[in-house]
Amino acid sequence: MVKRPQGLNKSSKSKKKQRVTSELPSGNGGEPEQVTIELDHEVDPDDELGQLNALYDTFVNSPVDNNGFKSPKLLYGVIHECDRLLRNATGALPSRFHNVYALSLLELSKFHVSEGEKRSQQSEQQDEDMPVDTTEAYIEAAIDRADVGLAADEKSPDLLFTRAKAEIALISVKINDVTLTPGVRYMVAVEMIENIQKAIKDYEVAESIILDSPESDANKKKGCLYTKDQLDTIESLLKIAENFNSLEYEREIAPFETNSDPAFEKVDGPLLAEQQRKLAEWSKKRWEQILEKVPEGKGKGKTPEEDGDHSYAVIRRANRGMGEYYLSISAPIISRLEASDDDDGDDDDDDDDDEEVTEEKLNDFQTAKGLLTKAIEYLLKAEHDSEHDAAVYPLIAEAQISLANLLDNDSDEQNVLYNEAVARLKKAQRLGYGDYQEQIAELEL
Amino acid sequence: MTSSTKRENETVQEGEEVKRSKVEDEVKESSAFPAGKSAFSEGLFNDERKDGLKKYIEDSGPYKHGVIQPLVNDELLRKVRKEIMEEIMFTKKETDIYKVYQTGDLANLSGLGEEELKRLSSLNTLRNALYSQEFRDYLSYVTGAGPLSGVKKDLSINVYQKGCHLLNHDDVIGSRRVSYILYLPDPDEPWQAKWGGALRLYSTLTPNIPSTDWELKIPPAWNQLAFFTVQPGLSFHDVEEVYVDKPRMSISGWFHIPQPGEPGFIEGEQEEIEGLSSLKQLESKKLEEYDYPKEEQHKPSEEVDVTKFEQDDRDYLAKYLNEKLLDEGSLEKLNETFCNESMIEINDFLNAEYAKIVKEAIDVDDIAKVPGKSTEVPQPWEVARPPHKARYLYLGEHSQKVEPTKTLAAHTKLQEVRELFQSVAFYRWLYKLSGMAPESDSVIARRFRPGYDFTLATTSNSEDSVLEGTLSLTPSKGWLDGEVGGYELTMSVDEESKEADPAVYGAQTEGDDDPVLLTSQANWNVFSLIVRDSGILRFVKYVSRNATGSRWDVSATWQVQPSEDDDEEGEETEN
Repeated sequence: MVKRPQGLNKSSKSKKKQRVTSELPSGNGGEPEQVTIELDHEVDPDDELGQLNALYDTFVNSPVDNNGFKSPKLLYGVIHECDRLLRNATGALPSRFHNVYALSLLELSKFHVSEGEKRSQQSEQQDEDMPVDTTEAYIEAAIDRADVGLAADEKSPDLLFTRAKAEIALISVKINDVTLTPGVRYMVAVEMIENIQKAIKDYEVAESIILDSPESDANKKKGCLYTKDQLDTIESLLKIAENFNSLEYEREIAPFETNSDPAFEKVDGPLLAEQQRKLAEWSKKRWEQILEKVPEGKGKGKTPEEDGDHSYAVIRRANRGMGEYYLSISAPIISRLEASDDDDGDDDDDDDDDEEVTEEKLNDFQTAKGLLTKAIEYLLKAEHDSEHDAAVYPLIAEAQISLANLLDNDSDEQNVLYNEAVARLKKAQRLGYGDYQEQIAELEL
Repeated sequence: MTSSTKRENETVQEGEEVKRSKVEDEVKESSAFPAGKSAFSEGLFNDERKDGLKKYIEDSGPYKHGVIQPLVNDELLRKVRKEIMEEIMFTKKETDIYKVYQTGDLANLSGLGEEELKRLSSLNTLRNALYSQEFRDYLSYVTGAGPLSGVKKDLSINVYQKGCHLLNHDDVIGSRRVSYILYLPDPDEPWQAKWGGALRLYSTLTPNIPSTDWELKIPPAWNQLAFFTVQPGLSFHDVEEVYVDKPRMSISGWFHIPQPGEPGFIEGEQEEIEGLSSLKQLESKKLEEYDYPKEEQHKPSEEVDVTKFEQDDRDYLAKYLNEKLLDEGSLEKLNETFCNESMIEINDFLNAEYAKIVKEAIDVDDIAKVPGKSTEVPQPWEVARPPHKARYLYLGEHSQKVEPTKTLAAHTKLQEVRELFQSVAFYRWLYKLSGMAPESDSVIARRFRPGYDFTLATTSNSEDSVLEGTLSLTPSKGWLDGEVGGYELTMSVDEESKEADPAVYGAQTEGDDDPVLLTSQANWNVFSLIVRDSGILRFVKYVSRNATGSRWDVSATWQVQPSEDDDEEGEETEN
C-alpha cells in the first residue's frame, strides 16, 4: 500500500502546532556537549595510535574554505590527543606518533601570526593582549618534535621529510617578513643559506631511503611511499629561489633608485644569485628523479582508491613540478622582455644600441618561448580530471597566456592558446580553486 | 499554473509613509557646512545648462531620464560620505529581487535629537537641499514631470557590496513621481564601469513588458545624480550586480506628487496613478502572452494505469536512475519519508554511469563563453522572460533538435532527462514514491547563467496540490553557502496578510515562525520533490557573476489525480 502525503504548506503548519505541544526539556542538565568526529576510515577503538593517525588523516582530507584553509578544530583535537598519549605513555612512542604530532604543529602554525606581523600589529594598535604564540613558535615546536622522533629512529624518512618541510617553512616566514626593509631581508636570506642546506640534507637522506633502498625496490611501489606533504616541500623551496631572485633584483637596482634601502650598501656583491640557480636546479633534480625512478602503478585505476597505488598521482605531481620549474625560470626573462617593451616606447638612443638590444631581446624571446613550451609540455602531463589536481589548471593557463603574449597579436595560434587558457581557468574556478573572473573577462573579450 | 506574486516591496525602499503635517522644515541646518553657501555645485542652476539638460531628457531613451554631474558642492558631499561611514549602521537585506545593505528611512532626520543631528549635520543639509523648493522646481522643470512634494521626503542610503544587486522593476508605488540615485563611491578612486553597479534602463515591448536585455547602462560616478520620471509600465530598470570588493554607496529615493496642503496638490491624482500601477498590471491575463516559457501540459500518448510499476518500467529507469531508487524496500522507505515531510531530497539520483555522461555534456557548455544578450543565446536554448518576472535559459516541449558542437552539448542530455521525467515509467515510479498519481506534466530544463538569471517568487493559483520536482545538475563548486545565489527557495505565504512576502526569508531563520520550508542549493545530481499546495511561494535566487559556473537543473510539475479526501494525512491508496 502506498501512502499519500499532505501538501507541504498544510503539513508544515500542522507540524508547527504539534511541535508546540511536544517540546520537552532537553534533560541533559547543562552538561557540555560531546563532539563526535566521524573518522575517514574505520579503526579499532582500542588502537589509540591508529585512532590518532585516522584523526590526522581526517584533517588532511577535510575540505578547504574559500581562502584555501582547512578548519583548525581537528588539528587542536589531534594535538590534544598527542599530549594525552604522551602523558600516558609507558614506553617509547613510534616515529609515526612524532610525525603526526610534528605535522599537526606545522599545520597549526598557519593559523597564527608571524613575529613580524605581531610586531607591526602591536605598534599599530598598542595592544598588549596580542597572541603569545607565533607562526615561528609553532614551526620550531614541530622541528623539536621531529628531533625527538629522529633521536629514536634516525632513519625515519617520514620524520626527515617533516623536519625538512618545517625548516623550509621557517626560512620562508623569515625571508618574507614584510616589516623588514628589502635590504635587511636580503641579509636575512643570506643568513638562511646554511639552514637551507640543512633542510636539503634532510630531504635528500629521506629521498634516498625511499628511492634507493632495497626494501622499496622490492615492492616496486616507490610512489606510494611519498605523501603530498613531502612533495610540497620541493615547491616551497622553488618559491624561496624565486624570492632570492627578487631580492637580488632589488639589490641590483638599488644604486639607481632615489629612495633605495641604505641596508643594501652593506651588501658586498651578489650573494643570492648563485643560490637561486642552485635551488631551482635542486628542485628540478628532485622531480626528474621521481620521473626516472618511480614506476607507474600496475593497476588500471588512476586513483589510490581504485588500485591502492598512488604512483600515478606522484608522477603527475612530478610533471607539475617540472612545469613549475620551467615557469619559474622563464619568469625573469619575460619580465625583462616586458621591461624592454616599455623602454622601446620612449627610446631615443642611436641605431647601434637598438640593434644590440634587439639581438638580446631576440635571444630572450626565443629562450622564453622554449621554456614556456617545455612548461606546458610537462604541465599537460600533470593534467587530470580530478578536483585534487585542480592546482594544475591555472598553472597551464598561466604558461599558455605567457606563451600567447609572445606570439603575433590576433594570430590563430595566439587565439587558440588564449581560448585553452580560459577553459582551464574556468575549470579551476568551477572546482573552487581560485577566482579568475577578471582574467577570464579580459581574455574572452 | 503560477502567477507573479503581488508584492509591496517592489523596490529596496519600503515605501513607508512619512507622517508629518508641517510643510516647512523646522530643522536648523548645521554649522558644519557654511550657512549661506550653496549646497549645489557651481553653475547648476545656470539657465543655459538647465535648458541643455531639459533638451537631453526630452530626447533620451529608452525612456526619459537625466544625469547631472557634479550635483552637490564637493566639500559638502565629502562630509556627507564621511558622516555616513562613521555614524550610520547598515543592515543586509535580501529577498528574491535584491541584496543590499541599507539604512533605515532618512525622511525623519528632523526627528533626531540635537546631538544626533549634529553628528549627521551634513547629511541633513544635503537632504534639505535635495527637497528644497529651488531644487524641486529645477527637477520639475527639466523633467516636465509636474510639481514635486517638499513634505514627503523619501530616501535611504544603500551600500552595494560585492554581490549586491536589484532586479528589474518599474518603481511604481503610491505617489512616486521622480526616482533618483545620488552616487557616493570613493571620490578619490574613480568607479570603473567594469566593477558593475550600473543603473540599467530597459525599453518595453508593450507597456508593462520590459525587453529581455537592458538598453542603456549608467555606471556610478562620484557626485552623479541619475534620475527619471516614474512612468507606470514603462520605467523598468535594474541595478547591475557589484562584482568587486568595493562599496558602491548611494543615496536613493523619490520625489512624490504634492501632498494635501501643498501647492500643486490634486485630489485623486495618487489614486489615478495607483490604478496604472504595474502591480495591478502584473495580474492582467492579457500580458501573459508575453510570458516565456509557455506553460504547456504534456500527457502520455495513451491512457495508462500509473499505479502498476512493472519490470519493464524498472528496466527502462535503470538506464538512468540510481539502482537503489528502484528497489521495493527503498521505495517504501522513501514513501514513508515523503508522507511524513511532504518533501524529499535524494542525492545521487542519476546512476553514476549516466550522471558522468550528463556531466560531460554540461561541462562543455559551462566552460564555453556564457551567452549574454538574448541575441547571443544559441538554439535550442530560449530565454525565459519578461525580466521583471524571470530570466534564464530553457529547453521546453517544442525546443529544436540541435546537433552537439564543441561548445554546445548540454542540451542533448538535458532533453533526455526531461523526456525521462515525462515517461510513463517515471510516472509510475513517482506514484510509488509519493502515492500521488501523475496525470500530466510540464517539464523544462533550465540554465541560470552567472550575472544574468533568476526567477522572482511565484505562488500557485490552483487550490489543487501538484508534485513539483527539481533535479539539480550543477557540476561546479562553491554554491553551498548560498553567497552566490542560485538556490531554490520554497516558503509559505504569510498567513496573517494572506500575501507572500519574500522579504521575510532572510530575517527569520529560527523557530516555528520561519516561513522557509526548503532551501535547495545548486548541487550535483540532487532531486528534490515537494507536494505543492496553495500558499507556497518559490523562486531561484539571482546567480552572481562570481559563481563558478551556471546553475543547471530540470524542473517539473506533475498534475496529479485529486485524492478523495485531501485532508486526510498519510492516506493509504491502492497499489
